[in-house]
Amino acid sequence: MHGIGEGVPRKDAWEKVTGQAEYVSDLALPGMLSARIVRSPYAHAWIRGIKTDAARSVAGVVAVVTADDLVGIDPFYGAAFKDQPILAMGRVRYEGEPVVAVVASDEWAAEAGAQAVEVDYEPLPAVLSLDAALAPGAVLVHEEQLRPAGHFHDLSDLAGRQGNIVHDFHFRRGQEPDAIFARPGVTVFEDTVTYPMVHHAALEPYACLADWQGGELTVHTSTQTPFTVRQELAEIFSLALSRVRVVVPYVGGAFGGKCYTKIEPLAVALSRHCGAPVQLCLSSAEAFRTARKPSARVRVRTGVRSDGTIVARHVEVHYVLGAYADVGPRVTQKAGYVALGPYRVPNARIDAYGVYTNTVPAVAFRGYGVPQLVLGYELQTERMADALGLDPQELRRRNLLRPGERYSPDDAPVDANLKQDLEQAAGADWAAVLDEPHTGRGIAISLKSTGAPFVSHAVVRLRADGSATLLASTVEIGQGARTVLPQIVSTALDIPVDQVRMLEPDTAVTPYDQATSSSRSTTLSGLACQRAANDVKEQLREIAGRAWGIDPTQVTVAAGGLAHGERTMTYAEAVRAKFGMNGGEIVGKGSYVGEVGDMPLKGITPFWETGAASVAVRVDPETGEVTVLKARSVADVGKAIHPDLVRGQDEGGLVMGFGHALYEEMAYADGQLVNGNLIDYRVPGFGDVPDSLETVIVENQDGPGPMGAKGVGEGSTTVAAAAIAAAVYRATGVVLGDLPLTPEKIWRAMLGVKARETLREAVQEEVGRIGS
Amino acid sequence: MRPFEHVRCVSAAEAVRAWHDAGNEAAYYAGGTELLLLMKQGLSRYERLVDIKHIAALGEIASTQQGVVRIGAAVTHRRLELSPELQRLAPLISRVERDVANVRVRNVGTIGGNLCFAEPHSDIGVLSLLLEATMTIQGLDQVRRVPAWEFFRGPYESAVEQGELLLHIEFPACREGTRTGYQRFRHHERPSCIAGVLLEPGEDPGNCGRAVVAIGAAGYVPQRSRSAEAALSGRTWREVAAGAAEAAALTAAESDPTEDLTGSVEYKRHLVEVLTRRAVLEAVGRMEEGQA
Repeated sequence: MHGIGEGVPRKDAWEKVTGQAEYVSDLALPGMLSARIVRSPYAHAWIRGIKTDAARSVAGVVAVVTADDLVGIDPFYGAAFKDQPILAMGRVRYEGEPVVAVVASDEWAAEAGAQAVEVDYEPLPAVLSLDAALAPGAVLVHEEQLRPAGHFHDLSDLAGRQGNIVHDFHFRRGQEPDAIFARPGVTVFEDTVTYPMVHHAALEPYACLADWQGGELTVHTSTQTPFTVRQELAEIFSLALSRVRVVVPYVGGAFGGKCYTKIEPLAVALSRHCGAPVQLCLSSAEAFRTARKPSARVRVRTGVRSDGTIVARHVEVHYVLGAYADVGPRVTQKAGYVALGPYRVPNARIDAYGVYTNTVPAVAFRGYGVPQLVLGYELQTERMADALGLDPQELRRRNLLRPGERYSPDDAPVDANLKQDLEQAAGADWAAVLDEPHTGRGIAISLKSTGAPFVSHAVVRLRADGSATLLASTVEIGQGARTVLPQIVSTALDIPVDQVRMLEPDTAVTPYDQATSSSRSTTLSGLACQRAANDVKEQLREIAGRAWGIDPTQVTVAAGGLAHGERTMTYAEAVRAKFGMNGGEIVGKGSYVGEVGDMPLKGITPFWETGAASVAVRVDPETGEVTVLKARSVADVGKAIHPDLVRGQDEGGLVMGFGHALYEEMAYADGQLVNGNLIDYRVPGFGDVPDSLETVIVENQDGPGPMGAKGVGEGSTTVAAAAIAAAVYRATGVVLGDLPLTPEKIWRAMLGVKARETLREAVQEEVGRIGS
Repeated sequence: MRPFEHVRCVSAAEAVRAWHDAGNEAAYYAGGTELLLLMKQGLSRYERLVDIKHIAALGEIASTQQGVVRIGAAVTHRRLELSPELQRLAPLISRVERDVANVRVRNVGTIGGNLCFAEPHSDIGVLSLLLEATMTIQGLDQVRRVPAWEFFRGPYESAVEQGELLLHIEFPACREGTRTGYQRFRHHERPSCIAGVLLEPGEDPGNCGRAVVAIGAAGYVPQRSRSAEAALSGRTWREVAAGAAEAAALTAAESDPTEDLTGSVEYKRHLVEVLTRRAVLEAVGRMEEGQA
């Protein structure tokens, strides 16, 4: 009836498959105008002048808006620092930055107007790489004093920038690793890996419809964080929170790229300027110029005893955050914190930095900075095991945190069985495949904090007929929230799942929820929903108790009704008993509020998300091309409320990571993004999915969520690229941590190995000849 | 996408007139798999699209008694893949088409559109060289024929001039005993290197009488390797197999790869060599297995 552990049909499946599901770009309001953006062709330049006359005279054009027109508002936004202007002010900091917006009666007129705008630029030297940004005397991407946005408790000590470093995070435990490294009996391994700039490539690009009506603002937008968007819009336009209404219809993929404010301030500014609703829908090429994943360089140094026991680790990570900070500083510290991996490391040092460059702003991305780190420490695990003559799984087992052990003393104990996850990942029998030449298997395992304080509220309204409406602000981004959260409520109330209807998020109607992110919704928003349903149940018990003259605790709830001995009462009868008529409703409230405290991330992680995966690859020895033959991923989710959705999340996350490992990279030439579209930029397709792709669901009911659930959706992404790199190492002998592992890179690396082998053979021959 | 006028024509002459009536503001439209993308991205703007999908002659696959196969320009990839006639007359085409792009593209994209767009990564371009095809092109007042080796002028540039319409391509039907090899490197959806080999038996069926070696995708235009062809022609099959590496090296030396996001010149030249060698061996192997 509730489909727990079995699954029920997705609530959105029929609508999406038949094209009835509405997205922001499908919406229209009377008198609505359309907007197009004129973007910077330079990575870094002064804006010397903007000519708008020709654009204004294009038929249908209503307004041509520049930064000068943004009067009476605070024209900056940003999740960590308010460093991003709604439209460029005097200076552009990356190719693709919005400079001018043209509003017209339809999008073609807006497009024609945009093409008629002339902007005079004076190009400036740009910093495009991490090294350039860190070099002494580097051009500064931002020179102004940075204003912390104040949206996050865990970013309360944001200090601002030093050079191009916008934020740093440090963690120490035990002694300095360098001191331990120098001890006898300790072997030190050092690896440096780089993770490329990649784009989320959600099928639905950014889209927003803003309707400014004097002091009332309604925004329909494709976002994972309606309440943060509301907060920022209220601050920018000096409105009370109650005057800002953010409504989120279906979202066509997000992957972290739609967390926090993106194009909403511009759409609202245009609506305010024109006095009419304005729709702003970006193309996918523009989405590439709006947000990306933080690229990174990770340096891992590990000291290990000959038996494989890790004694010290130093991780230094630089996240390249692009031209504006967005939430990059939070990625820097939240991921930086777990840079030691799922291992017991008595002496540790972590130095994490977020760095500005003149590239597309980096934002949240599925895995939140962790995949970059896992690539570094897990590729090293494989290499370390070989050098020590140990089985890599044995080395991992020796160091993995045990259930209940703490990653850090003040944080929550590990609520996962990592050894079991590892065994499941490594357990597939792929001997038949791995006996073939040029093949190899790679394994990776990870630990991710889902931490920092989080808040979710939910309301359940039990109607007079016994059906229920769920009000919660989790966004349906394709993960299935509108299916799973009603399942949780229907289970608590013991009514059929189709009797529970969940509304779309609307900040004027549905209660506060901090974000649809961090794999949190089933677990934490789910708890709020469960508690709201339980609140309804308690009220029903009281009604029955009063009606039957007994203590409410003696009333049992089952099969969608109330009972005590022979007496029964349906929910509908209970509502009628309470109000004395066929009307009224029972309103239940539930909340989840995370714990705040003085620990590294200022809050206890509600649960730990783990990743463990094993992949088998074949590498063409002549071309360097990698084919993924088999993949197995472990989703340690505590309890799979909807197993098919768990598999969907886990498989999707894994294949997405394969893309980063093998194909994807936003390529820049002279500051220009040269493959910023879905034709030239290669995301994995079904042809890239291995013939055997398997998710093993581990259910120990050890999570804090409803029925012991934990989150899913990011774990497999955190280990995918590391497992691929490890498998390529096994297949070729080449340690390559510079993603993506393109065929040419692998070919060159193999040539290098071959050249060294040939040289060694030649030397040995020579030595042999001299000897004889 | 900007609005445009859609004109549906039922004869080639009518289509050419409809194009010229729009005064350089028109484009011929068949599958639209490339054209509509360009228009969507704002890279091309046309006021009029002249729809040639309903011109009966352009949708035909036919063969003459002289053993010439004729394929109309508006025949889709999907028909090339599934046509029983082509599977008999030019089995290589059907085999290659199975892996062109994806089924949605194959369902609408056409052979003529592919040739006229002259996208450097086209399979059809390499196939037309391998099969020694001839293209027939209609202008306002003349019809002319262009051999495949003169058809590709540069990236996105073919011998079809402004306003001209490609009618069909013709090539000799596959001779009995002909064996083919076709290798492509497809790290990207569009291959970044293609090598095709066609070996015809000589008077003595124990010999390779004639070899055609064509490569594509690595450079701006598909090209034939005359030196490799010379090295393989007139040899016994065993010699062809033994000479595969040498022919591949000759092809690589003759190739003119260009650097792009899929690889450097050096790497692509290496790919040409690897793929050509594999294609020669594949062709010889198919002969041994008695396949076409």
